[in-house]
Amino acid sequence: MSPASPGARGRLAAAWRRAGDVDPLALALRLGLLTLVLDASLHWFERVPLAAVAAFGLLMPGAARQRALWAAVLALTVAPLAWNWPFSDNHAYLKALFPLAVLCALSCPDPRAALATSARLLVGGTFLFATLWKLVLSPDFLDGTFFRVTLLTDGRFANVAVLAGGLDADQWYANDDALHDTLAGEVPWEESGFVEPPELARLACVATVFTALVEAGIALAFLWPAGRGPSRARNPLLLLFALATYPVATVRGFGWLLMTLGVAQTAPRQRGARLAYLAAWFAVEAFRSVPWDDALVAALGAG
Amino acid sequence: MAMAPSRAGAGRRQQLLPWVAPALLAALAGLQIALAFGAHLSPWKGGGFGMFSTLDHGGFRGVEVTALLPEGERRLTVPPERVREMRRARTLPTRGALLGLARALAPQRPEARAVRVRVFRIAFEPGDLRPVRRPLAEVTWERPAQAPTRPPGEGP
Repeated sequence: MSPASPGARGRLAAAWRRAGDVDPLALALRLGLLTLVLDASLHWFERVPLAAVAAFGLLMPGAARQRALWAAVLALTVAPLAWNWPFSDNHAYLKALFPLAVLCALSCPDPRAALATSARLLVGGTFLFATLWKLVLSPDFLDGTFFRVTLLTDGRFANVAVLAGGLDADQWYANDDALHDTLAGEVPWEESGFVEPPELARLACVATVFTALVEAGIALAFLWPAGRGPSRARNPLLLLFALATYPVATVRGFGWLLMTLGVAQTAPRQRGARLAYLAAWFAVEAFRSVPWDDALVAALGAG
Repeated sequence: MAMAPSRAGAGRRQQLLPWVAPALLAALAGLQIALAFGAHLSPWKGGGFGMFSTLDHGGFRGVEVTALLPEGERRLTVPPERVREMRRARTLPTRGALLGLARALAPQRPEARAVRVRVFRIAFEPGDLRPVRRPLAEVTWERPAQAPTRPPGEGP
């Protein structure tokens, strides 16, 4: 039977539905281990042992619920933080906190509920501090400077600047040269030819407000007591964040960890949310691997 | 029936276990904020979730190393084997990191009496986005004075 036949399609749909019925703890442990296998560290001596231990946990029945395995994973995620200090990105710390949360949960009488609590607080804490930085500590976020400059200079945002910021690709590269020449002292800023279209300033303003609201909303929803008020918006907000952020800021490991924590904090009855997190986990990889923005720029002739 | 003290203690520990990782996250984030403001740690690093909040990151930080010579200052280049020290000084410009980089590059100009390391960031004016260089840290390493060499054959 071909994979496209109705029978095969039905079986695939049934398998997808069954994925939502999987115990949140089991699914979160597997997704977490898969993330650790695929989100490789830079150095081979950090990457190989962690991938081997995480793969063992994925492949051997029952291993994913063994505390010894998670203790090893914890050691192998903490060691790079010490070795690479102070270079590790923020999500490397979350990558080490996840196995710690699992290890603690597996020592509790109800590991699922314990991991759900840890995951909820880890997501809430992550976004609380992200919001604190953006709204209070950063000198250049709230006034829009961060997104204006990032859209104009960060290569990951170049296609967004071209698609929605009123720049063409040549202008984007000319701006890069203008900035470089000014910093090298070769030309005064006024004569550098640096261009910021009004559309780009508006786009930066929208990105600033959207990011601040969504991140603050996630912090509030995940730290609010369960089942009441803002806590009901947890899953929609975290999924909105993933779908709005990872097509542009392709920090795959962070996205995968957040989706894993999203799965872990779902209640067993929240089948739809679990499926949505699972789909978003795969979407994070698709956003990074599929050159959708290059294709869109080419199709619109914006480049 | 009252719960035995050891069982009650174990129960409390188990109630606290789910809070261990989140508490550590908060502690790390607090430390990162303290280091960012007290020692100019890049907000994008260190576990405080300051990424995508500020332009103060490696792309807009620079390190300048100069040898102080009798005829003036001369820029020193950072060879590939010293890039890690340079990145360390750029990310967390402590006095120790800057002195370490100065000492590592000093052999490039043995005649220099001192080596100066400056770390700066590029900030942008909110109006016209004009880039402005802002100093973060500076250290001057003085070359130790060499003991005068004694002519051969001269006793104490």
